[in-house]
Amino acid sequence: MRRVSPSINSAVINTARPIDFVFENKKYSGFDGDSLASALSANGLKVFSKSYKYARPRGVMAPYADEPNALVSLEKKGIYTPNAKATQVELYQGLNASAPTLNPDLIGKIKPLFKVFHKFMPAGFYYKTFMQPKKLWMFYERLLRSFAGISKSPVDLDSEHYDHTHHNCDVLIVGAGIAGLTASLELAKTNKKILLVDERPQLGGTSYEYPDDLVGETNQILHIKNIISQLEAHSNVTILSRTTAFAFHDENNVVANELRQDHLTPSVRNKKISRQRLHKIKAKHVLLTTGASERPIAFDNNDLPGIMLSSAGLSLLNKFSVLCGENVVIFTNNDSGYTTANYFAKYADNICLIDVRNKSSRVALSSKVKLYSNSAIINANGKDSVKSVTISELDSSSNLTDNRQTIVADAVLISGGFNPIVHLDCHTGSNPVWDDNLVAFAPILDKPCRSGAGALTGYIYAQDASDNASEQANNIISGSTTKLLASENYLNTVQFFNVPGFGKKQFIDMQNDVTTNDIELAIRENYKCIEHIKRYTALGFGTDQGKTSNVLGVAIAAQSQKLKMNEVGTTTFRPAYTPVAFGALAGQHVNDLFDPQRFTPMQPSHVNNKAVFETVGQWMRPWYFPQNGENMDKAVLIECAQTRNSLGVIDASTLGKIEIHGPDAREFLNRVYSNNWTKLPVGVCRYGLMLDENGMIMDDGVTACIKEDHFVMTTTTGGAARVYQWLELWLQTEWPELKVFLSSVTDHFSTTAVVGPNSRKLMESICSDIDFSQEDFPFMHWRDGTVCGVKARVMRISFSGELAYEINVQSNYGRYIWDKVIASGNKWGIVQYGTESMHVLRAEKGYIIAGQDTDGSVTPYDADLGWAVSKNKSFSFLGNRSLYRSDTSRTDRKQLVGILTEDKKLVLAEGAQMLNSTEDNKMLGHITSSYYSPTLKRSIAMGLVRDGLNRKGDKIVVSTAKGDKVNATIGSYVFFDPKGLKMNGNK
Amino acid sequence: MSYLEEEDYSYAGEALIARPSIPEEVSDEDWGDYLFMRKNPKGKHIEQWQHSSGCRKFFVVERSTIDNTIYSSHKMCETQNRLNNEKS
Ligand SMILES: [Zn+2]
Repeated sequence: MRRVSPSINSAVINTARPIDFVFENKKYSGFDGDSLASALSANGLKVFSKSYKYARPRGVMAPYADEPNALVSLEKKGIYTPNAKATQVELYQGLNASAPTLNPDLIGKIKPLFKVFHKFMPAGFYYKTFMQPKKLWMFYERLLRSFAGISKSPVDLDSEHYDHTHHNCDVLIVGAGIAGLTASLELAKTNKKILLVDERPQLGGTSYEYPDDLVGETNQILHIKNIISQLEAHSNVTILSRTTAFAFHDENNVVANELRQDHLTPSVRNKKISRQRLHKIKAKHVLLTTGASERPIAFDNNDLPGIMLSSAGLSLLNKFSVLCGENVVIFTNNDSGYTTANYFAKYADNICLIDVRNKSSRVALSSKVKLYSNSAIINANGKDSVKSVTISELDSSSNLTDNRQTIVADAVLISGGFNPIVHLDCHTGSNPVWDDNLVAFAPILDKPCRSGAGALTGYIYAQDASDNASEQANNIISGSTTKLLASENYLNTVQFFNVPGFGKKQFIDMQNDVTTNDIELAIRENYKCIEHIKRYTALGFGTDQGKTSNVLGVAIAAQSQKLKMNEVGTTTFRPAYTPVAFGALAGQHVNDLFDPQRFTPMQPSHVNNKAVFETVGQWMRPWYFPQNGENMDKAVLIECAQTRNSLGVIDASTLGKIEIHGPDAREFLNRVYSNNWTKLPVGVCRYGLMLDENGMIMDDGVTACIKEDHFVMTTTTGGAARVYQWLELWLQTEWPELKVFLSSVTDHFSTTAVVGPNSRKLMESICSDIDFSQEDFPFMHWRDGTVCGVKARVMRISFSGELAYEINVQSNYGRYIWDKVIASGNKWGIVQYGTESMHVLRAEKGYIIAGQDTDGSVTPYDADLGWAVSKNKSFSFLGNRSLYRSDTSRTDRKQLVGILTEDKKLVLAEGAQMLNSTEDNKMLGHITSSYYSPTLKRSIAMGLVRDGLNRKGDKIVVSTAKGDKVNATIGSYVFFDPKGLKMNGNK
Repeated sequence: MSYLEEEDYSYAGEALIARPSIPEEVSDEDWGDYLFMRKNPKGKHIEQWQHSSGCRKFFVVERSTIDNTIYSSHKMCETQNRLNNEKS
């Protein structure tokens, strides 16, 4: 292989700008404009990888995104990129690439391992060999993965960033080859908003591979350059190159990824802009001009380096000025082989053209080319690269004859016809149909507001593609339609996919080492459907998704079952067309922007007071307050003890709050809560239990009657949004007759809860217009008043079993009140506590947390909350009927009970399984809450136990994370102050 | 005209499933049907959606489960009339 000098005039390289780069720790030099593949080829490199099953040497085989073999890893650490295709990598100064499968250590390990089993592993090899005995699969899987011919996954954090943007346009054109450019120019003349995207760095598609193709009197390279300069004058046209439209969703939603900086040396990349940008495009019309990609013809040893698609050879030659061989053999079943031969005739010494057809081509052939009609390559010879090919004459029915000869070859270029790049059209469920005329699976383009033009629809030559693109562009303008698919096969392609009678080393899928034999074996073993064949043989998996192999695979499956191509059909085309970095999909939704964070107004005080935070839903809540660097357990001991003994304070602002207004508010509460709200007077609060229609606990909270037609409901912190939507659903869909209006006021109020026996004294010191005496302000009542000069609603409710008051003020006074409470409470040694102590305090009292002690399968009876189910309500409240279903009314369901371990120091793991005894493995249920109780100086736990309510006093065992089992006893889940004596606090 | 993105809305289940007016008079089986049985069709599906990032209104959409074509959309009150007609 060598660089042609001077450069061919269609070349994109700039020989005045040499580029140094590293591949496999070796220094190389190329030119600006080179791809990694072209630069390495120009340096004489032929072996780019070793195949993963057989460790066979492999070279570049296909152009651009179709390449199955030349996978490389780029750079290291935070800019490491796995599995790039060398044909797509743009060379930059200092590029550092490696080929994972060329690592000699790895190859040394692979070969002997696989040799033990077979020289050539047949299809289904993994299933047959490694799945038995099942126990060993994990071991084999790990080994196989490390050999699986692809780059290692990145381990370092991505040091670059990504973003997303949206487009609304009139026409999206995908593919900027001659058809896409022609259509863009035609449409640019209207006032339509046009977006043209193309995956390559240069616009022009395969014009660079076939530069001499004429449009009118001009060659197409000049023609497209002319169009591009004209397009620049149209402000209604946006052009995005290096942008792959990789997914086509319903209603013309197309997603494209733009590589903005991948082609630049890392040190000069602009840190202020994203590395890649995801474009979410909504188009009124989508015109697909994605072109066609060449497919091979299979013969024995067709995977030897030096054997490639014609288009790959033409890409190296006409785009990068790299001549892939001096003795070039071209193998074709269509006219394009003649075109290829003519291009090579200008530079190579010997050119042979092997044509399986007997009819003459429409393309005149250079006299330098030796033509073998009615012939096929049956075998390639060579060790690390091709040295010669054996050809055979074919008889009139395309069977091999004994008339054979060997031809010297250091490059073999194959054209087995062209596959329209139908992927995007198929993403929305339109399966391509085999077209006998085009000898290819053609797109059906049956969805509204979508059309196609150019090589995608069979117009291969530049002039035809250009004419067709103009016609389809004008159809978009006028709103009319004309036939999409070409009715002529311009290349005179015949159906010839592989050389019959061979197959052991006839490779169909290079990346997965799938041969013709494998596909036939799969069919013999009754994997006949193409989707099953794919999964049994791995045909079409991997980073190339079978772009060069799928159609061949279908053809082999059709031949061996004597079916038509359409009877076999294709596998499903799914996004993404080519691999997309996870970073691009995530965009800016990472780190702090992954999910919104919500803070209460007291947040700055919490930070000052050394809070450690935990995330609850989107809320950042203080978890505990280590005052002298103590760990959580120590902090919780202090917080709980001081709260129970004197005074604590917790920020309860995150609890969901919903205002319920309207004359039917009370009736509404009766319907959505299981308990009765008919008699709740103004000034009083009540605990409410909310069930779903299955009768299962979904949320709970305290609701206060503010006025006859005004209530305030609280929900759990995590359940607020769900509950609000749930209530709206019923109001809007089932009970529109109820005069009720809901508003979410979670953020409107902040709540400071003062807790502990001295909380009454504290409240008296900061609020003078409320009488806090036990007689005047009993438990579960609320009062309006003024706290530290701020209008407040004070509720006497408790989630700890202690005397407690919740001070609700308008949100923007929240921090002021919080700070005032702490300052005033210092007299009683007030402690701030977080969610961890809150959980311990409530668990000691046996207050459940919906969503922790319940999981959507727990009825009020299961949670021993039967008292909160009212049997005498006129309306059958949500969930009520389900409580009478045969399954929900069973008495031996899993029920919530207390669990006390024999070892008082041992804190069980939440989720731990409970068993009857060490001998009896039947699972009884699991632990839902488990803490060390500072008050009781022992561990406590709650859990759901089968028939638990009838088993109080029973001894059971609980499994631990270490795998041993510890003794425990079932009991009540109210561990502390069961008579509620502490509720009234100190006098 | 500007588009509202699909993300502004959330799916809220099959539409036109009326809660039995007196649940206690309904057999376990019929109650089970009301709770669990859904059409899950391939093709046209009548379903509830909520403008969850906007006005919070629920509404009814006829949508194709094959390609997301929206055939029509209705205010909740329109479908309630239809339900009442079906009941009577
Ligand atoms: Zn709305």
